[in-house]
Amino acid sequence: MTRIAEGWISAQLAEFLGAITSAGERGAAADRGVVWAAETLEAELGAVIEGGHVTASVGFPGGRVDVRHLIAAVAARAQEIDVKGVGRCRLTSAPFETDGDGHLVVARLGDQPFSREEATLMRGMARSLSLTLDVFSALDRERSLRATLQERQLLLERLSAIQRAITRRAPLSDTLDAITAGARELLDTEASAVRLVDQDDEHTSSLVSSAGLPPETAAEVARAPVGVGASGHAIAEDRLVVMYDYAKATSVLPQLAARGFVAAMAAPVREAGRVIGSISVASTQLGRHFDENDQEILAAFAEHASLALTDARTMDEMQHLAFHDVLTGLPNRALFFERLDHALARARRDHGQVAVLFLDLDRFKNVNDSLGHAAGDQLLINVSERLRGCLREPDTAARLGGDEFAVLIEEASGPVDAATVADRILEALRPPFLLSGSEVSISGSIGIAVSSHGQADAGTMLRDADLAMYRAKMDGSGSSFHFEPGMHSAAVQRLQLEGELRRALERNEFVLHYQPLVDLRTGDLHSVEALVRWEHPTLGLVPPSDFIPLAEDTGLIVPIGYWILREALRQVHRWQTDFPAACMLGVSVNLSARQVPRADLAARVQEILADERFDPSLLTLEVTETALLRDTEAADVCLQELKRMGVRLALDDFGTGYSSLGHVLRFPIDALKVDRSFVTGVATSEERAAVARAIISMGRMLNLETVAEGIETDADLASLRAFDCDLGQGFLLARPMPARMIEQRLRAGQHADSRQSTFRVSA
Amino acid sequence: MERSEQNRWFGVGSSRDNESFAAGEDAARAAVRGGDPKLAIVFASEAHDLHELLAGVRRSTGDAPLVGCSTAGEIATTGPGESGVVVAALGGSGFACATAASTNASERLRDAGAEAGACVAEVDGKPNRVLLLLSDGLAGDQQEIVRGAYSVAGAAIPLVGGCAGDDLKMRRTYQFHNGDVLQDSVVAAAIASDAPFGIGVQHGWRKVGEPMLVTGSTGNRVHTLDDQPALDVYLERLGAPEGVRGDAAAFTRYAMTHPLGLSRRSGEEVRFIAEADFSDRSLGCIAAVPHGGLVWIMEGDADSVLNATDAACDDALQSLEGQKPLGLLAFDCIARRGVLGDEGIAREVQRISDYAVGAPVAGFYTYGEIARTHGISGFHNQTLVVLALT
Repeated sequence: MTRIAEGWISAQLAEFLGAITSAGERGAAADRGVVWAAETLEAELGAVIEGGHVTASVGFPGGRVDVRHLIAAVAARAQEIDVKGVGRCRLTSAPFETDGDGHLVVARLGDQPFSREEATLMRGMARSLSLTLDVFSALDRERSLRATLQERQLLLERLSAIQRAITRRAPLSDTLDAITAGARELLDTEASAVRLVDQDDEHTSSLVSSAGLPPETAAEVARAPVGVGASGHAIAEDRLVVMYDYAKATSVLPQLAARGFVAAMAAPVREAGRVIGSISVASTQLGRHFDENDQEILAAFAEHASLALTDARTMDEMQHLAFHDVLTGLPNRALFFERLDHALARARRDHGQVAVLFLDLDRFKNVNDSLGHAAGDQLLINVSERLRGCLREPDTAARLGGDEFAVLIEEASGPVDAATVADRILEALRPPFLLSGSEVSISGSIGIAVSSHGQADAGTMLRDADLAMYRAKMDGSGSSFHFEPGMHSAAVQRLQLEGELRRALERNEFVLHYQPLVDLRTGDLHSVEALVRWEHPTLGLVPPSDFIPLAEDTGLIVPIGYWILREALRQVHRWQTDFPAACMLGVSVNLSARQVPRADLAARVQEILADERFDPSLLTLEVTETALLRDTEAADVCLQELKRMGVRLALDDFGTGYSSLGHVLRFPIDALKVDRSFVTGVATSEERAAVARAIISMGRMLNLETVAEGIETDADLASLRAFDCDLGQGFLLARPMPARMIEQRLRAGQHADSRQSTFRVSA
Repeated sequence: MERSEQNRWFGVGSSRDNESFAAGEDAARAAVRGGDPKLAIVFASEAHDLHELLAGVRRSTGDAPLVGCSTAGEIATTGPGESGVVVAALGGSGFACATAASTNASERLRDAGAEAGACVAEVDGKPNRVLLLLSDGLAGDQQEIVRGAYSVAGAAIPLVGGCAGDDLKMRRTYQFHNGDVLQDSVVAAAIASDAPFGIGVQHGWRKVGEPMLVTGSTGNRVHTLDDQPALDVYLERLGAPEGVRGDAAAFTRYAMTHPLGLSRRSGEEVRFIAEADFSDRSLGCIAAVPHGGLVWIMEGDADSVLNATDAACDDALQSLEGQKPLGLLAFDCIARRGVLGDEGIAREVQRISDYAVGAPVAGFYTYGEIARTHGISGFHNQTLVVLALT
């Protein structure tokens, strides 16, 4: 193929990729892709086939594609196809890379065959399209997961409002109204209702609460026979009932059908295990479908309606409900507080001690996300059982909410006693739980607070234990941590830190550590990333996560950023001069979001480069998506200027912002740093592998260098090599280290006659 | 003027009356030459009171669907005109028409094209269909509008039409739909007929010199040709006069007759160069110039432009399967008018009329032409599009 043809193909591919990635969502990307492909090949017809369906098409008369005919032609690798209403066309198709079933298809009227260049371009376009669609699919899944979580949150809020109504002993009608309103809102239906079987006539039910029903309709269906309509069926059959095509179904309430309701769902409401009524939702939207998730939500509302009714009928039960967690039966936060108050009062009187353990399950969300909420709920029940088994009679275990538990140890003889209980709990959690047929291992983090001879009140103690729990979490999962008095002065500390941070530059308290970036193909040291550390005179080495956010908030990041740049260039320039093997050693420096849109950035960088006599092509400035998207125009101007100076630009944490992939790719960047969240565990997670591979391939097609951050295992390294990622960085390869250690390695490499041996990673 | 063929008729009328209502009424009355009018097509100068004008037209055409637009000059059988109005009407049981309009086009070009074009689904049951599109040429990337219309029309239905003008004021153009005067919109008329349509598309520019590789472009902007700043290459290749090298207006006038030609599989496509950036030395075109493609600088003169007129008419008539045309609609680029001059365009319209062999002609000078007979791209620059009805 000639250079011109190759140039044409790569230019077309780059434009194609730009067009599809800026589409914003999967369907639009497929639409654009197919139109673009047909236009580029000057063809009339195009289609995307996925899993036996046409997911996008252009040019087919009336938008109607004879799918079977087309798929058969593609499968037979036919060169021609007769399209109804259009005529005889030349056909070309290319398979998707990641999905054997997917194809990009283009058909052109007339008999001029597709050239070799066109076929090559088709393959490239199919490849880019499939990768882009994969990324969008992964994104869609993530978005829907997020939406599910939000929905879940809302459900919990509504349910807890209903619980509160029950415990507050609100009038039953108010509670039921809250239930119907909540069900209608969460299930996004036009109407919701609770019906109860008449006490004196078990064949008739009455409407006791409704939301969204016009008053005249509510009057019409105020009484209805059991066994008719979704509600009637749910009551008669004691099961959740879903009805579609309401008007055409047998045994419906004609008044509702006349109101245009087309879909309905109802769940039985019980008292002491006996069906006494139902809760239902109904929709007038054609095609409304109630999926499994919807059914679970309605079941949850039915459960609460049951509680409310049971409560209204038995006050004893009510007492328990007010102070116990519905799911696990453990005392709730209110009861825990009450008992803690009593225990503290006793301790003050008897000069004893009280300990509080705060337990939070690690990665509980994963269980919910992967196995569903029912499994999550089951896990919470099982955990509470194990928790009870670890305690002595006078101690109290409570569920505070979500995956948070608290334990009150009365008459604790001291911290040691509390720690023993904590260890016992952590040990008890260790054996895997059996949930929906899978073995699930989960750990917890425990914070411990011990009353200091009657000083504390219940709120303070729980807060202290909570703080300690967070410290325990930071130490890694499955551990416990004792509260220390220094902990809650953190806020005060922050203020102090701000003052000290302001003086740190003058006092020369910052130091740079350097983390090697390794060429994944050769294992050679490619460059180093400069990372700032603060050597605080009293606190010791302060990690960046503790002061960078503060520096960003206060704007101090700007002078600190320039200091880092100058220092890094000076240091790396010295290495370039001192070690012949490092003469082309590059350096990466992070630019803060506060620095990027600043008008003087390029000038300052220029000045520092000149002062330090540093080759601009060996400097890579790393920016984040967030920094670019804050003010895209200013950022673009800024980056273009840096580019003109010959500085390289890398997009840091790529993949985390995501909302506008195409948008970001418009900036003049040279490299993509694939965020660690897609890299760590890439060998074991198909999802991560798909995203990482798509990003790396995309980078390759756009001639961008790709860097994988956070490589921690050999398996991950092997995967990234297989994906043909250019550079890698991570603890497995080398941790960030002080300059002198880099120097030692360079020197060792020099003696070994090559810098390579020191950083080489086994292939 | 009129001509009728069994169950179909097509007529054209024009008026130079300054009084808008009367001008519209008179032109339309002359155009309606049969019973059962199915469609009125109005091309008028924005100098008219357009509401009055449409009211006048509808006095003559009644409730027949109406589409049209403002122009940069009108074309009628009697010759080219300015500040006037030309009305074409067609009717009879052999035609079926449906129209639609879509507004706020500049914010959603593709959707607007699809919305207006959707009327094509309303005329079914006749063997031949064509979709006529009239759009606001100042609304943005017109290819997007054509893509939208294509998405609903599909490969079996050709698209023709043009972008509305405003007598070269380049401020705002108008589109007409029934009695409404719209802006920033796309209007469409789906015409179905018992008899075939013929479409001809020609530009009449010649390649000058060797081809160049587009080594840098983004959308409509060409940054480099053969790795050199595009403006420098352009000026140097043409040996452009000193006066156009630093003056924006002079450059645009000069560039109007020196477009870029893109190499396409099915021949070359012309890109009008609208402006140059004298500081970054790039060229701004009216439609996209793909990176990596081959381009030529093109030039034209009165002869080559008139030859294209012949060729377009020839092409349109050739697909009529030997039938005589009932009438012609012409969408002619304003830039061609620039090359031909006033006398030249009179000769051009005369030639079109000659091809029509007595059948009436209507059309206008456009800010961009639409003709899709193959492929998907159907937006053209500096081109003459001829639609022949039989």
